[in-house]
Amino acid sequence: MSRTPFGEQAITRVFLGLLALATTSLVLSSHDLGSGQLPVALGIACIKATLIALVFIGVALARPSHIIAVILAAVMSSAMIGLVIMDVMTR
Amino acid sequence: MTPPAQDSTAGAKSYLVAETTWSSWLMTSDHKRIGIMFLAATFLAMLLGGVVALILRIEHLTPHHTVVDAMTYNRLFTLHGVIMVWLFMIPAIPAGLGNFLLPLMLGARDVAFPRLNLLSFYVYLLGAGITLSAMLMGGTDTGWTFYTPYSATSPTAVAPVVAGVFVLGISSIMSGINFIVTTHALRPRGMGWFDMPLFVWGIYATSIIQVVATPVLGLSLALVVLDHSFSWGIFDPARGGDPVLFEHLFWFYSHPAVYIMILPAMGVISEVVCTFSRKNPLSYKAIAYSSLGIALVGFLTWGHHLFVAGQSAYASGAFGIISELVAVFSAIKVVTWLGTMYRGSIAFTTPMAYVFIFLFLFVFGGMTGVAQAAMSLDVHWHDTYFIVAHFHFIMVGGTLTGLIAGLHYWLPKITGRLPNERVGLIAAALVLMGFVITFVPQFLLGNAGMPRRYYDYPVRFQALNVISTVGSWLLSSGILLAFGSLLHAAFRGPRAGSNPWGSRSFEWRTASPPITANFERPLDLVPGAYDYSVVNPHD
Amino acid sequence: MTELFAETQDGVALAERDSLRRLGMMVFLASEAMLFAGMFTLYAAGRIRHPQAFADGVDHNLRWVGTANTYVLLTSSWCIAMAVVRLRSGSRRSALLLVSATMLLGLLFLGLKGYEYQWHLAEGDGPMAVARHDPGIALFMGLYWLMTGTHALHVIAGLIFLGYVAWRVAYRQANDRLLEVAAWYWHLVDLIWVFIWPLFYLLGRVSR
Ligand SMILES: [Cu+2]
Repeated sequence: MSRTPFGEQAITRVFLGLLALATTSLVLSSHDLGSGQLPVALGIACIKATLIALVFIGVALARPSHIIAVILAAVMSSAMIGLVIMDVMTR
Repeated sequence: MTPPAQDSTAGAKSYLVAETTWSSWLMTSDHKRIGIMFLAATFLAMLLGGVVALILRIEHLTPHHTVVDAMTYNRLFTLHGVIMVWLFMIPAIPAGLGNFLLPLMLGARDVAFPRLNLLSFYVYLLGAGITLSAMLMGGTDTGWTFYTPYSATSPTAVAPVVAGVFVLGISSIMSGINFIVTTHALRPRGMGWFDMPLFVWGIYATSIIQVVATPVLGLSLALVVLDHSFSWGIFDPARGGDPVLFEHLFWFYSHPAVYIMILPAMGVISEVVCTFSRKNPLSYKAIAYSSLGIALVGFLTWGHHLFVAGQSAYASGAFGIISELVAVFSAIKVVTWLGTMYRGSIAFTTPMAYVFIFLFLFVFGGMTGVAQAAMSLDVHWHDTYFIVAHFHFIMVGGTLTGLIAGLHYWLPKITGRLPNERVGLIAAALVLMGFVITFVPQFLLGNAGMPRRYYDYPVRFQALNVISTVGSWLLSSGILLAFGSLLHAAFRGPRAGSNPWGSRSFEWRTASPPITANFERPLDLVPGAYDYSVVNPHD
Repeated sequence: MTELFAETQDGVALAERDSLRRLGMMVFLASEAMLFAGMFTLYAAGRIRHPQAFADGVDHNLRWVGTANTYVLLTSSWCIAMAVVRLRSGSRRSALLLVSATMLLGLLFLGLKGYEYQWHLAEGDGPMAVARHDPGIALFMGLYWLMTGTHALHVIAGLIFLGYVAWRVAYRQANDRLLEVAAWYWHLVDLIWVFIWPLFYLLGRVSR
């Protein structure tokens, strides 16, 4: 980490944001969004995961060269899920 | 293990003689000793897997029963695959040579986490122990790929074999993390990414694959055990599962695993080519970036193993196209190596002989790979001996020749003694002939329709099978001669001096064998690792 | 354990020396993420093939337990992140309090999880009984035990790690950097749960 780490304020703000997102997800889950149900819930989950990774784990502050493995894991897991879904949907 | 060789640097003793008790080896945290222990263990694994391969080839001398029955045959080809892939080829160069050389090439005292490094070795031994003892308990007949749904129902000892491979995966991840951190954080001030010896790039790219892909292998293996032991049926179509998903997860690891085997070998080739051509590489960046390119693109090609498994035609098309891209990066490497040799003053030593064998096997095997990645052709060749011949040429041939080249090249670094050139060249010739005579007939057999993993074959295939078996004898005598000569030289060879090949690479800028702390003075980065334009002040 | 992750005693000047353990943990987290990515791949494929059965499986699950656990883990993540900041600024006491709070929340998570598992077992839906279900439901239940079980194991590992670090911090043998990497591991456990929650507790048939 090269820059100043996140302080208490930033961490608490992100925490409140995470709580708000979780509550949104919970409320929406009992409303019928049709085919949007799954994408919305997972979209919110992705935002939450990104916040946790960037701020709590501090990926946002790490040297680019130090998070090569993290970026690679993100890209490769998306590729794995995406290509397998492509196969299952077009079979 | 290896007797002392005189140290040219005054003062500190070499790592081989600094301490000589058994526990000074078994409890060491010295990356050099751990590397040697990995080399010894993987060498024993190779011998065992080789003996099994010889039995398999002898069985195919006649169309029907020759020496073992059909059930034993199934268990033996599984044993051969499991040993050669996970006990030998995956760890041999990275955990063996890589462990020894990585800190030396970076001017570091050790890897980032020396004790984790030792633990990785013992976890490897534990995994090997579990796998091999399961094999003694009857083994399994699924093939090294453990395809479901058969592996979930096979009455043989699937669970313990799979558990052993799972443990080996943990060792692989440990080494990978260690090497990545070492490469990032232990380079001396002034050594940028593009100043590192090329072998480090190979090890780095390999470690990335080990860390990112191996967990997925572990998952797929754990699920096989759950399906087998508790009938979960995650991969069982009768229970709503999907066997193709096992193949997806398994090959998500096992295709990149091919690069775990070949990328370190390519690193060895780069070092040997530069040293014995006495030239800087035609393009350093082309070699470095193509290592990364192979590692990255290699992650997205796994579906070419599923062309006839029930995968959708769209997915197969996509995977086929991406697979062809690997050939581009491989070709860049081959061209760069050849360009490096061009107008160099080439010393035709044993390591160079293996470089040429590597290039032949790699280009020939690579071309058949390009053909196989085309769906229409693969449908014809799938599950035939053509595939067997292909991956033995490129993957086994590449790894084995890379390893033997590296062992000849770095033997003086490791033991302070020189290998025997004449015996080395004879062994190289035997290895080349052995490979061609063993596996070219298998290309022909597969193309003519002989399936792999079958106990019997029609009589019309016998002639080619006999030729292939005779080839396996040549190949194994070549390998035995090479390793025998290396072992002899390690104990009795002539003294080498600190830099017998006149290399500029950093690992040669300290005594051979090195002292326990590797360097007496901080590594001097001038001239660069491939700068042959100036007189080397370190000679 | 710290012995095991002892950093090399390197006298050489280091270009990128920051903390070897930090980088090592970052790489390890990437590796762990791939393990779960494989499981999510299986879930995706299963849900595409058996949409109704998966929705029924979600509706059968105890939504309030999964939801409560979501808030428990998020709060524990905040606690441990604050603990790192406090220790960095030198207030060891409040850092230790926050670590203890994190661990208590982790135990609460496990307690709720245990209640949920007990409930499934009482229904006869235990991990050994997966094969009794209809195909689609069997796949859902198999993935449920696999993914929540693996996650729970990670929670336990995280608790052990945090407990060890807290003990070291209490005896002034560890600095904020060791606590920081332990916190990162805990955040990963939270991050995985962020996806498990909707997939196993929220996304059922909406019209119920
Ligand atoms: Cu492949």
